[in-house]
Amino acid sequence: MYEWMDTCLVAILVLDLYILGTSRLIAVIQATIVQGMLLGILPLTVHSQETIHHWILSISVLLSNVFLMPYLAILLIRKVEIRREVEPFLEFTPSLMIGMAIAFISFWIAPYSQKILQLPQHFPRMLMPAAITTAMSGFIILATRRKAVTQVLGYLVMENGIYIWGLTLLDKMPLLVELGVILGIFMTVMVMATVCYRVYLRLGHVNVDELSNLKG
Amino acid sequence: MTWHWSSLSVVLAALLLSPLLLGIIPRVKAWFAGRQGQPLFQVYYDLAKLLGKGAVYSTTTTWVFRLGPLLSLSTIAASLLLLPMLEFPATLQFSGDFLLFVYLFAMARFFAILTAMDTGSSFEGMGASREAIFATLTEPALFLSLATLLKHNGTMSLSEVFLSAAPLTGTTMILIAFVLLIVLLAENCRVPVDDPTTHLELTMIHEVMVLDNSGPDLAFITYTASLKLWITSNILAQLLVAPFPEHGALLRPLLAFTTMVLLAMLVGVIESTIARLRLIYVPKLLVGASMLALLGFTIAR
Amino acid sequence: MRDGGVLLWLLLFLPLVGVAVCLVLKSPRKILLTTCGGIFAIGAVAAIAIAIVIIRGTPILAANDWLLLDALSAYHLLVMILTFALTTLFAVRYFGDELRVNHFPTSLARQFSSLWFGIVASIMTVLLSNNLGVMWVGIEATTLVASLLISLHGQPLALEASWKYILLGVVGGTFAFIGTLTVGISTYRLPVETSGCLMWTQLMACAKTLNPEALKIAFIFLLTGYGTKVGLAPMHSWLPDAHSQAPAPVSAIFSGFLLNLSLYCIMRYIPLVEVATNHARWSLRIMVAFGIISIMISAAFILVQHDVKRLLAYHSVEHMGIITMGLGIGGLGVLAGLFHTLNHSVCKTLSFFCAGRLGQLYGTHDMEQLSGVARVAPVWGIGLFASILALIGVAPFAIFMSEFQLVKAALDNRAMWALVFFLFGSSAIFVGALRHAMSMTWGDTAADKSYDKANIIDYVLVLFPLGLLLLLGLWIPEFLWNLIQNAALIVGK
Repeated sequence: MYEWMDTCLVAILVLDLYILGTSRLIAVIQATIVQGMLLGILPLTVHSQETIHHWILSISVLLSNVFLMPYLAILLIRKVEIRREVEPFLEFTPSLMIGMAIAFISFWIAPYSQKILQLPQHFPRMLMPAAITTAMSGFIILATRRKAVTQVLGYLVMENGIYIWGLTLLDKMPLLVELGVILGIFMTVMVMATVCYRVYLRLGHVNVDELSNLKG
Repeated sequence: MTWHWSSLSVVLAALLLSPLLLGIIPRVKAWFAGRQGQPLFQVYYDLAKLLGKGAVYSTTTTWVFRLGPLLSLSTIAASLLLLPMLEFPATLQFSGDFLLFVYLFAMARFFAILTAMDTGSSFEGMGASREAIFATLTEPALFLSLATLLKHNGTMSLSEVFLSAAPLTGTTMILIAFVLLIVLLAENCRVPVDDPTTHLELTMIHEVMVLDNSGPDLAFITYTASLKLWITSNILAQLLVAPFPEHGALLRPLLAFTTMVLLAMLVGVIESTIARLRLIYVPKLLVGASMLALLGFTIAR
Repeated sequence: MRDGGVLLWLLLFLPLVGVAVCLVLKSPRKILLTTCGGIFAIGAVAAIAIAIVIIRGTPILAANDWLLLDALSAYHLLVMILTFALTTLFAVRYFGDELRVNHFPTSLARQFSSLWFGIVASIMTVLLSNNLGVMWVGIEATTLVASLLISLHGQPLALEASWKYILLGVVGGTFAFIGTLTVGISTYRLPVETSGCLMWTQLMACAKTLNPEALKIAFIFLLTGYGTKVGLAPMHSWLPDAHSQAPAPVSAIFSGFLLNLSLYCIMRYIPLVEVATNHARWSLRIMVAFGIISIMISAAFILVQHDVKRLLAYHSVEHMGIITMGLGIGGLGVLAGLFHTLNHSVCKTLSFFCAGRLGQLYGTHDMEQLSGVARVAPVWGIGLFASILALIGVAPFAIFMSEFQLVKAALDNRAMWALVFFLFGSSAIFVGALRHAMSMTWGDTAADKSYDKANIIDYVLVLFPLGLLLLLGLWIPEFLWNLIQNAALIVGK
């Protein structure tokens, strides 16, 4: 029943690992674009009566995750003239391994947590691991990269994970709330990009480790 | 432990046909470059020529250098006995045989490294060290791919993997196939991991290790390489062919052989179209492959 | 549309009108005055809505139950309009000075005013929405607007603070969203209709049947997520940076209301978890623990502080800890905590006004150099001194009263550890902050500082909050006490 959904989710997982392992920012953005497409497909793979609801959700996700947010991100990395993440606090290969470890662990705990949360038996098997791994991959990028730009991208990835988790409530949440959340996330990325750009304009760099003058 | 003597025919086929597989790759590359290229059977001619020659040994080398290529060849040939071919179970089959299989592979590489180190040349040493690093990183990928197949079929023997009623399909199969392709490229020192035709020793990995070998030793090494290509592409081919329904005893093995030829051509295509990775990125690729294999292992039921 | 519903719509849309008007106007002075007028108009509408809730005693619901104004949100709305009215007045005074030396061009004025109305709009979204998902959207919007307000002037340090805030804010927001979704998942087995899965009123109605384990998991996420925005230790690291670098009016609303707003979100979830877990006090214990940690950590930092705005920021951490602890103790503690919210907001806006003005006059926030402020600027200097006295809990200011009630609640509920830590922490803060305040107020004036003549607005801005604090310390109007009691009943008995 959830064959296609699981396939999409595995693809998203693989992209997480790619995102964690690459230093090129444009590659990260491309990966998030593909992830966005897959996220857009996900609601359509669920059979239900509320087809219109799913289509609207799918289209708005595609619009924001495949077009608007990547466009913003590309604009940002062009403006601040950064193409690569250099010497992050956690190197790429270790972060890749940590990401995989998280995937492994989340697979292990998923059945238990599904039982605790009283989710139905025929729940898509990959949903929870994919959600946790994607969110945590984003978090790892957000927390361990040196450039503010990369952190914005990390937020993007993190929100993709949350969106997957949100699919558990696909038929329960009103469309209005879902659209509000998508808009909220888009606005967040926009403001993050704005602040990041202002930091660049004012300070001439976006190195997070140099943003440490406030202490105590 | 079970012996299937009838499967020796498969081993014989491997021993006879593997140089052909190795000959396909340069042919495809030549075709891509718009050249005529060498004959398909060139590897056989090379082997015959080399076997007829005498060997030159440097005075700094010891018996290790002389023994190495032979041992390397014999371990790889021994691993052939553990390799099934769809309907044909492996000649030697027992529970946990995949461990021996992987370690025979590792042992062949160990002898190759020893041989290279024994020359005392810094070039060979450098190549050996790279080979050792990349082998360390490739091994988990191969191991985890095999483990995924075994986990899926709930068995501990390679021979039962491709015979099962419910072969691996879907997402996991794609993942594992991709990983096995990378393993194939890495194990056989192909682009993007290594460039077998490079002329710059500094960037070589495998080729620099065998610079000092000549005559029959070189023939052994070439033959080992062709057997390795056979074995790695064979596993991948079996994985891809396994979902096809059984139809007579020979159809699927023949299909698998065709797939192997196609894979050799694919290697040629890859070598012609993409560039070699910079050395520092090779570990990343291999670790990534291992991670994908681990992912496959995790999601396989 | 039921009666009062239109007021809620007005509260949501008036700020947006304000944004539009401010973007059209040209002169910075006009923009500031419009902002002031707009906020007072919104305040008047809000006051009517609050009055309806108080007099009628039942919540206002509108738009198919999507909008809700019950006692809890009405009380927070009251705190909000109070702080915003005062702060907007102060902002006019504060930026008026910059205007005089041409440091406040139209673009900046527009930016400030539209963001100011924007933050009011997002706060209204949080306070008025009955849907927990929309509430989350509102909080996110608040975070975004606030982060832009911090770096209004674009100073390097302010940008740094802004970036730190936004980073922690979005991570916190993500956690809070996971929590919100998990609350929705707790209804999975129930026949709740589509629109109801995150409706607070509907969730409360069936709270007993919700999946308690899911709610527990949700609460942990919510507490860490929203708690980051409240500034509860150990997620408080953004708070001193943001408070110290933001322009004084922004610091004032930050400390005066934005922190409380996030805490308000947590308050919405406490009764859900408590009812679902059969009043096992599970969530309350976590709240107490966070409260204690916040009090202790802020005490440690207050003792070694050099920057007056950072000092006040750590006071915020402390007071948020106190309110959280009060909510966690339960019973009278909830009442005390809610009352403390009002007192702290009024007091903290006052202290940030004074600190901000003095900072403008002295050109620094370093307490070593800010000495003898009572002589240089008597109104602001005395105001700062008095507000710090009130903050550390000197009788008869209202903060003393609410803290006293908290002690009583702790004794009643036998929350001895909480009491011990609270008393220890607040005495340490008492001593530490008093030492800073004394030297700042009465110390030697290093050089002749430009003496600032206070005008009538200054007197109002200092005396009104102080008078209010004094009044609330001695006597609480009955309607207010009723409102607080009703609000406390919503959070938990």
